[in-house]
Amino acid sequence: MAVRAETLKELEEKQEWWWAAEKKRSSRLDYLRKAMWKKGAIGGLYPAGLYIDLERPVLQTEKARELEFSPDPYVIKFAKILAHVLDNKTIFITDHSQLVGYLGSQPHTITWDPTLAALLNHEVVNDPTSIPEPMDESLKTITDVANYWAGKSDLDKILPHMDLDDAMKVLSGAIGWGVPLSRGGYSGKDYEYIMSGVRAFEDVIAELDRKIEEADAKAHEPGASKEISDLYDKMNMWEAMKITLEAGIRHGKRYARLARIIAENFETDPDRKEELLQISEVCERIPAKPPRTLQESLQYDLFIQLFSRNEAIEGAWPSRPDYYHGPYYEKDVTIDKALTEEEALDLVGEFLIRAAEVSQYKVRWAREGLQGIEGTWVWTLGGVKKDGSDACNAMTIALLKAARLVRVANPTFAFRWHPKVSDEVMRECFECIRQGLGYPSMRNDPILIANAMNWHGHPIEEARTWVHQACMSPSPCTKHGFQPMRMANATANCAKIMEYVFTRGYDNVVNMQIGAETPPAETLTTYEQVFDAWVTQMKTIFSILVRPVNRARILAPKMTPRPYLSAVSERSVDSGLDVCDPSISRGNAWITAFTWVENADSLAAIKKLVFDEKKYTMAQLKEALANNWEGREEMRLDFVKNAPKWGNDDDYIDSIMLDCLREAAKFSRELKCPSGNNWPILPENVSGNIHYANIVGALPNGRRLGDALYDGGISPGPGLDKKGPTAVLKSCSKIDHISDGRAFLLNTRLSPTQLAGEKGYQLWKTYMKTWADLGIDHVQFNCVSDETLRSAQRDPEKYQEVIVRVAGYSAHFVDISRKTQDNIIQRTVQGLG
Amino acid sequence: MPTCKECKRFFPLEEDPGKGDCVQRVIDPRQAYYQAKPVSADKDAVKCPSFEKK
Amino acid sequence: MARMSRDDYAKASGAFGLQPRGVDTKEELEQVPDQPCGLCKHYLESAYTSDGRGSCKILKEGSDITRDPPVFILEGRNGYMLRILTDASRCTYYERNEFIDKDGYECSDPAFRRFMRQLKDK
Repeated sequence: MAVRAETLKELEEKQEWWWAAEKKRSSRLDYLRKAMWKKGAIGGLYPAGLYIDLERPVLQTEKARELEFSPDPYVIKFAKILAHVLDNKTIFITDHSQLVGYLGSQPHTITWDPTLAALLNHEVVNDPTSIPEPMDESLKTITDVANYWAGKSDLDKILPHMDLDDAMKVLSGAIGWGVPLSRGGYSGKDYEYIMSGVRAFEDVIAELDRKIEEADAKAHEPGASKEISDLYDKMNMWEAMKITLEAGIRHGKRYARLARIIAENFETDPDRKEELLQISEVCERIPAKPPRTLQESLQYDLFIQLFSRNEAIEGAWPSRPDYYHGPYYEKDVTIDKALTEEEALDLVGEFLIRAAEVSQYKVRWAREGLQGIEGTWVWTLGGVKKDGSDACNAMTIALLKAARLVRVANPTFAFRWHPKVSDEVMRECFECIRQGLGYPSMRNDPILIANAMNWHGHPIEEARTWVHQACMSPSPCTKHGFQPMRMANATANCAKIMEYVFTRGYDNVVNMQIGAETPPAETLTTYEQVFDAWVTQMKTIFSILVRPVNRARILAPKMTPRPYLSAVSERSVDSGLDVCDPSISRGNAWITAFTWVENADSLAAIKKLVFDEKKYTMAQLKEALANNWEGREEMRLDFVKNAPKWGNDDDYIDSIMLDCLREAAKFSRELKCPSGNNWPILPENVSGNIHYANIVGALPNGRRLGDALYDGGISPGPGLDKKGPTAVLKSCSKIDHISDGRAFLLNTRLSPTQLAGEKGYQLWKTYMKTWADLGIDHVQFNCVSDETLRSAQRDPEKYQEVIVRVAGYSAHFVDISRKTQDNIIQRTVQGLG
Repeated sequence: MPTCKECKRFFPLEEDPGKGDCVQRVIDPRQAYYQAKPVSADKDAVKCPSFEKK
Repeated sequence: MARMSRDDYAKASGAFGLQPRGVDTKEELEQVPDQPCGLCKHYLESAYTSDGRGSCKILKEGSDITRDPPVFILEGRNGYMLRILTDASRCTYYERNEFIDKDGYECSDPAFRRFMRQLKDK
């Protein structure tokens, strides 16, 4: 990619921020940014040039075969397999880098974990784009690995213990998204334990040794009890934890050795030699001992994350980098002046790049729902400390600045706004939004802290430590408050609720009876009866999705334990129980509600056109939907144009939205997780609205099978919010963002022209004040013009670096499918002021 | 028969010279890097295209 | 659904039938029949279909098109689950599909996309 001829000023005036960033960043960051292999799927397939890494599955399989008849308990065998991978995988150090670590054996590889699910392994066999050459040899390896794990993978082990009926409905893919596995979902981390700077792996190992010694002594004292019996399992668990931490330390030292070998044998540039020796010093220490510098702190964090992804497929990256790295940044840059601000930005920028390239092979439905990215690495910035004071620091600003320099789509940031945030920090947030990154999304901290206390009973100090567990959901990072695994299959394709009212729960796309057999739609004679049927379908779908998660949470500690994640979690080090054990978790589950707003728009259309105005009968509507509105275009347009739509400050439909949410909220308190806590809903979409477009049949809001669904959360349908940004906010503010659900995603498109200059900032600030005053918990912005996006569709090569906000995440525009691109362009551009 | 320990790219472990790393320079379409792969010193290197006698 | 053993259910519906005999050799996995279900108009993807599963829009649970003579059940609550590479040469309902999306980069489009390596040249 050649550097542009225009001056920086010209590029900024033209708002070509991606080229401006190229001019502004250091030569190191420029090299590293361009060196990065983007791993997100384009549409549903991995892009050319990326290959499935076969090294790791072969290592896992050879160790598993070796241990097959070993008398070790399963959890220890599993830990040994993990250690075998860390000890034997190929490692590499990229030129100019200062941080090291990657999951695969080479930078352009996607790692494949064959231990998770046979269905994932079959996808690898069938993959049309990323099997490495020579194909024949690779296929032999892939089938050998896939066959070994057939019947032994996590899902194979868990499924027979599920309710068969529920399992088949979940696996149909019609109503849910994901599988109930503790080694495949979104893992929070106990950052208060492992990132507080007071301990690192060696300290935890010493603690584990103490625990094992005490337990061993106790187990052999005269006496017998259940407590003693339980100690045998605990000692195995502690031992397994220790195996993984020791392997982590050895892995760090492998990088130290490689850096030293390069410096002493290959590198000729004295400056680079010094950097390599510095990397070597860092990795000799990290992760064994606590970090002392920013570089060590970032390296420590990176290792913690990578080891966890060697243990499980993690689709999210809950994190609070300014809060935990801030003290090291302040020390190095402000106090000791060991680093200049530019040098620190190089490290912070590289940290973003190292995270952006992390990749794990995922099934196609996950790739389609997360187009253009590898997972929802939504990093949390800002917010308050445990005592309620402002937590923003110099690292907050450094991260926001670095994001504009490296312009990766993933990780993205979400900013915990509260009234004490300084204008300086708000301007940095705004600058990222104005420059089209689509992030940070803005979160209302006081509302969300109250929400966490309300729904899950987190004490206030715990609630204040919250990070984004995935795109949206706040989850604390404390001993009992953090969620070790959010199993993604409690992700509901909510448009099916409405669809099933008309099909009596029969799913015509996957040919199964999935929903409840509510009365035939043509027999429903009042709106209240329709709504009752809707409530029944809602309860049925949510229950089908939640039950397998509850079951898997109970089974996970024994069947699919996580010794490494346990080892970096205080609750497990203390108790000797697996980190997913419900007895040591406060429990903060939620149901992600994809394709939610279609329900309110559809119910409003039915109420108005069928029952108020009596223009159509339920029988006619049922027949029109069954035929996908074919031959009924006039009727369809009536349902699109002449029925009230969410997002226009219209009480007629807004009250229906509240009815739906409050019925769901009521039911959320009846649904319980194995820790005894509630299951609130959280409307948002990622790119599920496109993935589900062909799985959801015609709906009464005028949508046809195949049309993109709305972009999600509580965002109005594209082009259907006709009364301006304040009306959208007013509709959204009728929802109680503390008690009606866990969180509510709101997409907004703003015009880049309007946001130019100081005036733009003031307009945005006013908008944000209205948003905050109205008590809305979330808003995120797309700020790229239609013109740029259309040009990018015509000429994608020239616009490789344009980023857009998809839903709870950002992606490079060229990496999402045409349908998703069109859906983003169709969103209403709101004029402010 | 050449073995890994005779190769320029083999770096033995101090604590166990029977094992070591094969360190190679790789240049892919996007970046250049050094990689290290654990190997045993006595591994047969006859088919290794990167073998270079010390 | 009437309660039955997992094994009976898997045999009856193919629902767990990712690897019906436990292990498929590479050669078996690479066998693509001339008339695979994945190229039929009536083949329905589920969201998980890229591992090879789907169902038939016409036939219901209990059908078996691999038998000779085949069994066609047209009434029932659940669709007949099969795989993209199921040999449909005995199926009298088979209608070959014309694909629009040729490269598979567009998102889920049940009737109109190809996505599996083995069907690339079909």
